[in-house]
Amino acid sequence: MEFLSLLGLGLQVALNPVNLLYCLMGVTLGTAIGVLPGVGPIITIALLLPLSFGLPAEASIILLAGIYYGAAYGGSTTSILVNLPGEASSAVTCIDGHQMAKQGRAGAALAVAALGSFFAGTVGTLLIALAGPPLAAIAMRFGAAEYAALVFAALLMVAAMTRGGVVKGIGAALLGIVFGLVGSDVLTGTYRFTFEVRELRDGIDFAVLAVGLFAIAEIVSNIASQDRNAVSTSKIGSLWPTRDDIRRSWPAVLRGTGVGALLGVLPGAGMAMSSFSAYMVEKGIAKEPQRFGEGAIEGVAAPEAANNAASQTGFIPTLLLGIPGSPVMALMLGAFMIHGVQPGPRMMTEHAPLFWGLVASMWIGNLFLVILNLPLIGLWVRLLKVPYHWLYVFVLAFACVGVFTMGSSAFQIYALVFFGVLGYLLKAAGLSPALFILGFILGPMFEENFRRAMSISRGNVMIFVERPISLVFVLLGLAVVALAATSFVRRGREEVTDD
Amino acid sequence: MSDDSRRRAVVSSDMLAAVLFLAIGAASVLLGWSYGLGSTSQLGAGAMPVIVGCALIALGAAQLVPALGALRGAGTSSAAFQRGELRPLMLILGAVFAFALLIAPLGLVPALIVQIAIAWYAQDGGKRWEMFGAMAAVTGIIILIFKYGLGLPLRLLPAGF
Repeated sequence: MEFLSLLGLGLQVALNPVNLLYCLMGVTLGTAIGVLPGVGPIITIALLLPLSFGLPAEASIILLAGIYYGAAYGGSTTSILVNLPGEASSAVTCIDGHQMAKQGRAGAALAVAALGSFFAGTVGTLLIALAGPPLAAIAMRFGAAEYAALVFAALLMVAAMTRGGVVKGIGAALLGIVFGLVGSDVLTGTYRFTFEVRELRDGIDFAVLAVGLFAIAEIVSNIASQDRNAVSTSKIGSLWPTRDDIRRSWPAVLRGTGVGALLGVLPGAGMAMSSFSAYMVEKGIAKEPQRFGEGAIEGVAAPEAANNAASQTGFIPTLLLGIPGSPVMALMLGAFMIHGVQPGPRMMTEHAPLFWGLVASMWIGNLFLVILNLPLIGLWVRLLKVPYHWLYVFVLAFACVGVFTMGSSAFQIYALVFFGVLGYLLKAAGLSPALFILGFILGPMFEENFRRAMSISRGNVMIFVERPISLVFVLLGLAVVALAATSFVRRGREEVTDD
Repeated sequence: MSDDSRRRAVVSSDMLAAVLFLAIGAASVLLGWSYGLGSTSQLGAGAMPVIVGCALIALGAAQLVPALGALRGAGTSSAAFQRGELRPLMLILGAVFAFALLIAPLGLVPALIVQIAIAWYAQDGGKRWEMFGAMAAVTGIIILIFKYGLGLPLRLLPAGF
C-alpha cells in the first residue's frame, strides 16, 4: 500500500535521532509555555523563527510544531491544578477540572486529560495522513480564481470569529495586507512602500514583524495587567482514574475528538473554540447536566480531546492548501517559507519527506507528551513559581539577540521597536495582532492569484462567481460575515480568544 | 465641539481603530496610485494598494460613526490607552532601543546588561539585588544558546578586551 510506504518514509525522517531530539525539545518547550501564563505558543514560535534559519527544514518545522501542540497539552495542567489556564484553549477545562482537583481527584483529571489528548492527537494525525492525498488532488485543480476566493473566504471567516467585531476583524487583516505589500512587486518589480530604504526592498521580515507584534507588545500589556498572586497548588492525588471515570470519559473523548477535528479544519475556529464547543456538547447531551461545574470528568475529557484534535487538524488547510486558518498556523507557514518550502497541494509530492516526517513526528510527539506530562507533572507545576519579571527580561533578551543574528545589523532591531509600537497600537485599538499577521501572510497570496485570475478572464470580475468552486468560497465568506454582522455568533465569539 | 465633548476627549479604542484605518488606508491609496493601476486585464502594482486602501477607508468611516457617538455620550467605548501601560511601554522600548545602539559598537554582553538594567524597571516586582542575578543568568543562558549551542558568530565584548 502506498499509504503505508509513505508513512514509513515519514517515520524514517521522524525517527532520525536529530529530528527526534528536536521533537522532544519542541514538546518539552511547548509543555513549559503551556503551563506558564503570559507566554504562549505564538510568542514562543515567533521568538524561535529567527533561529530556524540555521536549522534544517525538517528539524525546525518539527520543533515548532511540537511547541504548538505541546502547549495545548500543558495548558490543561494549570487549569486543573491551580484554576489558571496557561492557554486560552484550556480555559474551559478549569470549570470541572479544578473542581475535581478540589475534591482531591486532580490526578484522575490529569490522567484523563493526557490520555484523551493522546487519543485525539493520534486521530488528528491520522486524519492529516488520510485527508492529505485526496484533498491535495482536489486542490491541484484550483486555478488562480479559486485560490483568490479561498483566501478571501478564509480571511473573512477568521475575521468574523475574532472578538471585537467584524469591522475591527476585517480592518486588522487589511492593515496586515498593506504591510505585506511592502517590497518589490512580484509581477512588475516596482518597489512599493519602501521609502527609499534598502532593507525594505525584499519586504518586511516576517520574523521581525512577528517578534515585534507578539513578544514586545505582549510583554507591555502583561506587565500592566499584573494581578497574579502567589498560586496555591492542589494536591495531585492518585493518577489512576476510577472505573466510573473511564466509563464516563471515553465516549466524551470520542465526541470531543470529533468536534475538535472538525472545527480545527475551519479557518478561525481554532483550539479555544473547539474546547468550548466540546464542553457545550457534553453539557447538552448529559443526562445529569447539573453535574457539570461540580467536577464532571466529561467536562475535562471532551475539551482536552477537542483542543488537541483541533491542534492537529489545523495543519490540514495549512499544509495542503497553503492557507493558514489561525495565527499560529500563519507563523508555521512563515517558517516553511523561510526554508523555501511553499505549503500547498504540491507539497506532498515535492517535499514528501518533510510532509510525512512532520506527520509522523506529531504522533511521536504526542507519545512524548503523555510521558512528559504524567510522571513529571510536579516539575511543571514548579514552573509557576518563576516570577514574571525574570521571564520577560529573558524573553526580551532572547527576542533581540535572535532578531540581531538574522542579519547581524541593528536595522532589524530598530524595526523591532517599530513593530513593538505598532503591536501596542493595535492592541490599544482593540485590533487583533493575530489577524494582522494572517493578513500579512495571506495578502501577497491573494494579490498574486487575484491579478492572475483577472488577466485570465481578460479583466472580467465575473470569473470569481462563474467558476463553481470559487463561487462557493465567495458565498461562504460573505455568509459568515453577514452572520457575524447580525451578531448571530456573538455569543460564541465572546468566549474565543486567539490561539 | 461642545463643552461636553471636550471634557470626554479621551481617545477611545474605537476611535483609535478608526484613525488607524483612515490614515493607513489613505496612505495606501495615495502611494498606490503612483505605482500605476494598470488595466483590468493587466492590473498594475498599484491596484491592490488602492483596493485595500479604499476598503480600509470605508471601514474607518464605519468605525468612526459609533466612536464619535460615544464621544458625544451616546453608547460606551473603552479608553484606548491605560495609564499603567505608559511606563512599561517606554521602558521596554527603551531597552530594545539601547540594545540596538550598543550591540554593534560594544558587543553582546554590555548590550544585554544595559537592556536588562532598563527593562527591569518596567515592573515593580523585582528587587535591585535580584536584577544582578537576572543579568548574570540571562546573559549566560543567551550566550550558551546562541554562541555555543547554535554556533553563531557573536562578539561578546568591545574590541580590545
